[in-house]
Amino acid sequence: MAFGHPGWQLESNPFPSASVALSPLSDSGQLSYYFDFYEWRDTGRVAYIDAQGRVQVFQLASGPTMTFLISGPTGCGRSSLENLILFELAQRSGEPLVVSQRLSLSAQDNFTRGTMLVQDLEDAVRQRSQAVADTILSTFSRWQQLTPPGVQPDITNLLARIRRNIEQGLPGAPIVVSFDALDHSIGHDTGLEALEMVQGFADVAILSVTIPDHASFVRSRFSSRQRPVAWINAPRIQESAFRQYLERRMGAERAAGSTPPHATYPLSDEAISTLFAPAEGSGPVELSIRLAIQKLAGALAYKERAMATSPTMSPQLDAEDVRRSFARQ
Amino acid sequence: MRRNRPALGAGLALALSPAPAHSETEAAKPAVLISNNLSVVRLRQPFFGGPFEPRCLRFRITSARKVRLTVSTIGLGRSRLAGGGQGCPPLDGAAWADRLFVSLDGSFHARTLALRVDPALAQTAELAEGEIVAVDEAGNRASAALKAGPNPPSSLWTAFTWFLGLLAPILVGGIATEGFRRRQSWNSEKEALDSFRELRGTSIAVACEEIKIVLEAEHMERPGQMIYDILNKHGILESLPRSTRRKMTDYCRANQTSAIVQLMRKQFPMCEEDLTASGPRR
Repeated sequence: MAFGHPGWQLESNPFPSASVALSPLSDSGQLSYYFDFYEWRDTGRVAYIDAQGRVQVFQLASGPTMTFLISGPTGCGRSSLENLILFELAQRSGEPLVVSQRLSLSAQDNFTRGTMLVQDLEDAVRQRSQAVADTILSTFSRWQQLTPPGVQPDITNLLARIRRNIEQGLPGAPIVVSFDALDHSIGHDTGLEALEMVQGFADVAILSVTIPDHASFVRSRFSSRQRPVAWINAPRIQESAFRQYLERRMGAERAAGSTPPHATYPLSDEAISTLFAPAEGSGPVELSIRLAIQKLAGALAYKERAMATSPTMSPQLDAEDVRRSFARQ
Repeated sequence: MRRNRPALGAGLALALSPAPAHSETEAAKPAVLISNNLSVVRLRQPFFGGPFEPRCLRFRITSARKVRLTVSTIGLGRSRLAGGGQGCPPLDGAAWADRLFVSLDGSFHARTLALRVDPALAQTAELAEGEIVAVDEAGNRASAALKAGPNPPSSLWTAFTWFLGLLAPILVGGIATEGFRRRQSWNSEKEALDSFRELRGTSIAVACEEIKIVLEAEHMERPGQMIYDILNKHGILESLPRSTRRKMTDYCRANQTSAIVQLMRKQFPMCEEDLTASGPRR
């Protein structure tokens, strides 16, 4: 069954994940949707995505917590990249126990953050082993009882105990703690404090931030303390890179035996340029990859509807088609 | 040489001989006339210590009889006389004398003489009331009154001096008060900074370490913004005197890390080691 108009010569939808993050852990077929436009800052530890969507360099540190820093604006593929790292981790070290926490201004102290983390971890463990989850709960209760009233609770101590529980109950399961600092108002130190808290507890810690300088700061701090760290920046995409992405996507979804007039067909060069057309007086336009894909997916849907009413219309999307679809989006 | 403009409108000074002692008996004798165009000569006051400029005035002297006269001035300081038929001689020349001997042939042919008014009269508070005097061999005397003195102050100048007289004390007082206030404010800000340095040593040390991390970081687009956040978080920015704070904010905004480091070292010498060891990348 073909996708869209038969004249497009596409076997299936080239943009099936236009509005959600890729997750190869749940569907390894999504690996083929990855495109390497990322800026790899520590190529000795983690770098480059190959044509099959696999990370070419993936060096985990043995022993201390390996920290991944992912930075970039919203819609630039940070979550997809995080999921790819989890996939690679699962391939190499076994299925990880993943705990995700969203960093917010309201829960900035380590006590709140740490206890929430333990609760989430207990949920994740319970899906694998009721007994280990119960052990975690009792460890947590004991820790609370042992903390004298009025004394600052030692969250590091709690996390060390929980880690021992997991090592004994679920040996070999890597613990991954992921912090997401999406709020722009969160300072550079919030993510740093959260990462510091899980050092020695998590096998892998991931911090996702919108401001690249925050990632740079954390990386600089960790490097100065000889902690293994890798930073990947997810920038907005430029027209030339997006063309390459489209060529790959269209090529992958092309119907067998088809002979398209050009690699991005049915998207004409003008249609793609229209997407990145700068406003008057402004410089080159860069878009988040999510927005660029959503716009083109919308343009394809618009064209398909238009051709249903005018069958004689050319199947190729030109600049006018894209502009009209934008006006309707 | 620059010439002074007439200070007043044209006037006529006329003196008739004889001198008071002979006025009754000699009334019928031909008169000696001294005429000039001015009765008052105004002298310009030099600006800001410049030289006083003398002023030349020409007048005519005639007589109905043949007479030999001695012409001089009275009450006009060291004013000098010279022949003025060809106009005023050079004011600093040698032609000038305290008195002139003039022979008139009695045909009412006028002789033109020049008077160089003593420039020192520009310094007097009031007009000097003098005379040009002509005395013949018999002691008969003719004279023309002439007043000389400084230019009267203009109304604008008067207004200005009044204004200055009123405003100056206010200005001086205001400046002194403002200076005192600023000094006090600076002192209190400095005291606050000293106390901050003393009491918040740990915060300062942490901030300096964090700044060092920023300076060493790679691919940082806006290190100034990061440093600003750090300074703000640790209360350092607030502790700085207002002018220093403004400077620091400007440096942060412009990402001038070298200037930031320099200012930090100056304000917090305890950071010297951290910030020297790292050194700015940019």
